[in-house]
Amino acid sequence: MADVQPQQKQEEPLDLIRYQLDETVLVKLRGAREMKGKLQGYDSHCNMVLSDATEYIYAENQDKPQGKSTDMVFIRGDSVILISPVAE
Amino acid sequence: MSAPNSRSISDGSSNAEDLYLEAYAFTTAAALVGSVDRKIFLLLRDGRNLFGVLRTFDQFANLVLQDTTERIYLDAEGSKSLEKPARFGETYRGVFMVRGENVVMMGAVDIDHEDEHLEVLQNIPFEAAEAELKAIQRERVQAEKQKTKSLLSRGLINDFTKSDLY
Amino acid sequence: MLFFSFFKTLVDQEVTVELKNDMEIKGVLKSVDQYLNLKLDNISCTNDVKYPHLNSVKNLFIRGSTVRYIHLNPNSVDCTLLQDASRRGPWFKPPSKGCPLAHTKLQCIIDRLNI
Repeated sequence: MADVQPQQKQEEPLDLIRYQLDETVLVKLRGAREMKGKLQGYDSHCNMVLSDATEYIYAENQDKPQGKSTDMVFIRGDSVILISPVAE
Repeated sequence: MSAPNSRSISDGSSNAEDLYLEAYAFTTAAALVGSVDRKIFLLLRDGRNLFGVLRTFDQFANLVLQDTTERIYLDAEGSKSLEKPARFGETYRGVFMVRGENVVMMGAVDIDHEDEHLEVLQNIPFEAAEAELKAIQRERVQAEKQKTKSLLSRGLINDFTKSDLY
Repeated sequence: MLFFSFFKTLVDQEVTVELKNDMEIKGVLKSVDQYLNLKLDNISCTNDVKYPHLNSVKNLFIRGSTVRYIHLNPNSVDCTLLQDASRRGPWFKPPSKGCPLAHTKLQCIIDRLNI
């Protein structure tokens, strides 16, 4: 029980992401990429799993990104720049 | 050890030895131990392809290879002149001790089929292949630098460092 | 440790690993470790022009740090369990105090729930 109490008091950035579980998020990634999908899981390294996801790849000479869809994908946290909620 | 096995062990008892065995199945060491004393292929972060016999390793995937050969593959498109076919060059390197962080991937080579892919490639001297590869890599670094700049102006981050040429 | 446990439940499933150099490797997941290094069997590579020798390599150890994505079969993922495990996040940090086995025990429980 002693472990539960500090968890309730202490708010950290990743606690905000907890409310996005089972919701659609937009993840900005290194390598000029973004990934939109339903957040199924994450950990403290920002490793995450998205379902029904679409990847957007930005090319050097094109304004519009190229889309690529995937049913279920694990994203390694070291590529993640930011995570943001998306209004559906 | 498969996952169902390890589960049944944890159901049966929970003494320290069983917990250790259960954990061992999913360690770096367990993944690599099957490749010891076999011919392996190793791709390094700087783009080098090494072929040699894996002699030992540790939990960081630091490796020791014996009788190592380094091979450079050059594809037809990469050489700009389309008259040149896909080529390769190789040289003997001997013993390698590789620090784990530089490993991209490695795998045991099927020695019955390892040379099949070379039959369609033209064998050229290693020095020539190395020179051509260096030129390609220099070009790539320049192109990526440019790309990083132009993407950054649009708020996008290119994922490239000079040491990652694999 | 959450995703370490997660990938352990995906052993023997077919996955497609996308590396940071855009290479995609499909194979059967055979092993995973705490750094999320992967071991794949029966591999096939989407762009084998650049790496022609991978045809003679049948099992592959991939260092976790070079991975960008791992594409999974949606049917092999228990989304409810994964979401619940993520909500309980702090439990999955290795315990700094208290029972050293608590973490391992919880992992066993979660493994069992997933049967």
